[in-house]
Amino acid sequence: MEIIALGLSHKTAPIELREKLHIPESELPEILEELSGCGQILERMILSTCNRVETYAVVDDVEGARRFLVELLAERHKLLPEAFEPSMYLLTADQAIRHIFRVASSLDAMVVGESQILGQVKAAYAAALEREATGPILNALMERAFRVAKRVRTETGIATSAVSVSTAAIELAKKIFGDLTGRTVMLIGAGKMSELSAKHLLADGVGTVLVANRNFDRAVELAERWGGRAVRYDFAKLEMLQADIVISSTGAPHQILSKADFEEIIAQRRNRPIFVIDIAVPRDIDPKANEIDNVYLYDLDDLKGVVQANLRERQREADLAEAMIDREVRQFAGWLTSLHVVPTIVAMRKKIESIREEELQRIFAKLQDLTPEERHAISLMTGSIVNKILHDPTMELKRQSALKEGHLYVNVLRRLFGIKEE
Amino acid sequence: MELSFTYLALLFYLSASLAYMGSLATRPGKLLRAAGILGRVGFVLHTGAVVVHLYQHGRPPANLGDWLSFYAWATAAVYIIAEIHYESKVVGSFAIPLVVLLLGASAALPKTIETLSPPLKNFGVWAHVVLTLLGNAAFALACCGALMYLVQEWLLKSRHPGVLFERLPSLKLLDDLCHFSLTLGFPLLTLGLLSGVLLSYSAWGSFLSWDGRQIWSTVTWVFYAALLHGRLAGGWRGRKAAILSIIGFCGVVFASMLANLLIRGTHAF
Repeated sequence: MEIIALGLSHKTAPIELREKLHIPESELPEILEELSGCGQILERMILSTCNRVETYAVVDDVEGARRFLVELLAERHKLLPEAFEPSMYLLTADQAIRHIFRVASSLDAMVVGESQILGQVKAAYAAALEREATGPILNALMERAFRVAKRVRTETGIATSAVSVSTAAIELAKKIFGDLTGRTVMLIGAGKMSELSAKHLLADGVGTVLVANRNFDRAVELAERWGGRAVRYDFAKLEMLQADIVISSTGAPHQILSKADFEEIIAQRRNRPIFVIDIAVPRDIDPKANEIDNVYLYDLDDLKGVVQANLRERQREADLAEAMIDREVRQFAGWLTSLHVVPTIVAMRKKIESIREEELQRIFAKLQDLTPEERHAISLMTGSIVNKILHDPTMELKRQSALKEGHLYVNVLRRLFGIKEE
Repeated sequence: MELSFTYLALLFYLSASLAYMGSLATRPGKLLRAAGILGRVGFVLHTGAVVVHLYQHGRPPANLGDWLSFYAWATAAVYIIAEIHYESKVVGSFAIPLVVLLLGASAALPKTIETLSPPLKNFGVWAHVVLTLLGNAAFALACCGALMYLVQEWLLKSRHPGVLFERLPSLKLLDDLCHFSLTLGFPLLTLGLLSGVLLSYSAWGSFLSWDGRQIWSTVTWVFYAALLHGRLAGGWRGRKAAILSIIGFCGVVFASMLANLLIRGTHAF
């Protein structure tokens, strides 16, 4: 009996192939049903996202299960196995456990630390659970995977920093203004990127949007979409007195706002801070404006620099998470191995218990004068002796089960106690 | 007894400081919570030391060592109030080390027993000491907020924010903290100075004796008055206001600890 993870991901397969093998959520019950037809697969679960298609299973025969899964995928997607088999990985035992822990914790994601994957893993598990496709081992594995993912999120900084230009802009804005609720954002020019940044800011609670654009109709259109206000391009500087965050992305061939402009603006704002994001190329705003107190100016390269630094930071935190996962894998693998010794322990206890029962009946038959209380006391005492005698061998067997010599101990014990193979 | 409480408090404050520093360098979470608890335990023990001192001596601090201990206690008290108010523990990474510094210096200084001169044995001396101490403690907190503001602002301006940037609060919170501390500290200092003037009159018949502490405290008061006016009326905020808060606190330190050495007068130290 072995845990396996079989599949492909963004690390091994191009997007075209992943798309072809993608299994929509609506088809999951059906494919889980089909997998139950394979006698080798005892428990199963399928995770299919835009970045990965993976099957987690508990199998009796690894190779047999692999062949079955590959054929099933080929048949369902009308592909030749050769088309996708070279991109697949088959992980077994500890490697498979580590893989699902890493996937759930977002360490195997395209953007390390992104939060979406945990929800997808939970949904995949729920679908398998609903179909009764999982059993005690996969259930325990997934519960542990969710716990590990939670630990990684709370005990490392893997998901705390922004890793896209627009989220980096929001992170910076929050470090200047604290809460963004009710703040005013102003767009100068209406490029795609400024639109995206504004959308993110609105989602974060920004109250008002002002749009200034050379083409006033376009400004009106955008402002209406966000419930904001369009302003004449020529009055942009004046309107900046109201704004807390300015996103500039005009296509102007030269700078449209100088350091002196900002000195004037900040004086009129009575030093109220202003966060300016210049995402135009060439830049709209003189970089020297950043030298002014209470003006925080970031251009596209600065924002990308922040993203890169955050990614590096995430990687450092990911290393901590890997160490955490190593410990969890060892613990789970230990638990899994200890399951192998359970039948032996049960058989050993059963045998000794039956001897005890037999002997008790024999002695009670001889000692007819014993009161029920005395019989009960003798029964308790013998039970206690059995428990005490069995305690040490049981614990030792459990301990050894996690080690390489575990099977040797099981065999010796079976021989010593005369326990037959089931 | 007082010393035992003081040393224990110092131990807890020191542990809290290390935990606060650690939380700045690594993941906050549990470490920051531990720092908050250690700091509060330190404060409770420190309060024990202050109560024992007051019970034993029945008078406000009358030497530099005692005064530093009381000042550390007031700073911790004001910090805890601000921490609850702003729901931000990170400020403790600047405030609690300052408390350690003050209390550590207090513990290291010899404890000479000064007797209070008879004209000063009245309620006025209590009002004067308590109000000035609390006012100065608020200015200490303003200085901590200002220092954090400057660090955070520098990180933002440098355009390469790092781990510390993530851990420190927003500029707005830090600026608000400075403002809160100044608006708390200034009226307290004003009342403290006024009570001192009245005390001086009742004890010696003159409102001012022009000793070092009085002169420099007045200079500090004028400085803070200008700063507060600038913030409220002139819209001073940000880097300039932060730097002025730090300068103001240097003035407080000078006025309360060093000025008396230059011009001796009615103050005991």
